[in-house]
Amino acid sequence: MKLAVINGSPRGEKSNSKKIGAWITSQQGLHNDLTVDTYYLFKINRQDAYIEDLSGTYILLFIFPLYVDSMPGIVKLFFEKLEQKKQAFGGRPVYFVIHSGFPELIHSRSLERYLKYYATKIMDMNHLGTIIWAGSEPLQMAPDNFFRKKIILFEGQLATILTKKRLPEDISEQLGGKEHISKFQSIIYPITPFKDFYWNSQLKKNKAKKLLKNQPYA
Amino acid sequence: MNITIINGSNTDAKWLDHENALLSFAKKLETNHQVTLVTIKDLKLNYCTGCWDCWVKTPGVCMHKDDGPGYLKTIVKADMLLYASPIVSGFMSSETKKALDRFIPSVLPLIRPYEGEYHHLKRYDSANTFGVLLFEDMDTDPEAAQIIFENFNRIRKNMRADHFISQLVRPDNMEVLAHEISRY
Repeated sequence: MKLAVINGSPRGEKSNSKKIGAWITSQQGLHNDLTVDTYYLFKINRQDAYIEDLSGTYILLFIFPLYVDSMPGIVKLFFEKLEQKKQAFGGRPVYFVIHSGFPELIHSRSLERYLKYYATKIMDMNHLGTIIWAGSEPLQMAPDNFFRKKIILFEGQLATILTKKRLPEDISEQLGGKEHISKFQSIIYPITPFKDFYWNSQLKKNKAKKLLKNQPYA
Repeated sequence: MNITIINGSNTDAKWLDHENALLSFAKKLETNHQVTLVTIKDLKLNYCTGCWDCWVKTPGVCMHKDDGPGYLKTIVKADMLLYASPIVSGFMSSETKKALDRFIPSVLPLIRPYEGEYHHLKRYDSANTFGVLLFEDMDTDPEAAQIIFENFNRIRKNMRADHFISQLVRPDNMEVLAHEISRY
């Protein structure tokens, strides 16, 4: 059994996508005949070679961040290249994980719809589900312990993936995602202290806080 | 009004008539507006690397040394920003997506509620009208077009633009569209 974890983050080996991929495959030792290989799409000049490699018997697991409301450009480029070799991928089991800093699922729904369309109508693959992790921003600053329940949930999906079963319909909700923010949240958020903590701390670290609203191209 | 049109066409010759019509479309709009047409495949534009320097190190400035600054200058000055794209693999082209990703320096990292959802704050007071012109041919699947329009409407919200234009365009209907937009 071969599983390809296809990391579509522009940040590649430093990405949250890598972290999520490691969670999902952390129990791989329990499966004797399992080989897990990871591919990084940010290495654009290796994408063609990856496709040759992937045309074997891999189960495909794509992991990438929501990026300006859909997939990162490097992932779209890969999808286009993959279509050129679609005959080698017909019926192939494929799973997707989208992670997003936004706390609502609604931001990723349109992409989720496209991924299903791409897998089934463009590639004739066997689309077995998409996980949306909404509100993954704390991954940047919090220790793994903070995500214990989510990690267990991700780990639990490996058995589903290796048996080529469909992911639970409500997996994104199980991860804590809400479709929309409540009216109360939208009123209270702007006056919540520490709402910009991560970004402010990064700006401060780089001595760039005063430049936050800089308009260099005005 | 400043109108910027971003041509995200790829090198596939099947879209040449659409691109030529887009050029005529831009010229027609010039009668009443300031128009800039940018063709992404003619630029040296790298893919965004997700470094976030443009948010936390050099706010508003992308670390890439390529044609990105010129592209950003054009789009932040637009009152109307239109992306034109063929449908490739059932979605906007990777050229278009690359250009959209390079838009990141023009918003702030901070998010606030807008239209009942969290969205980034704008860095510039720009583009109150945002839209997509989707190249149509006989192979166009309405379902794909619908997904792309829906996706661009999400981007419209993230850019906090009030008005949205979504249109399937063919070489024979762009003149009519130019006439309609000219009245804005």
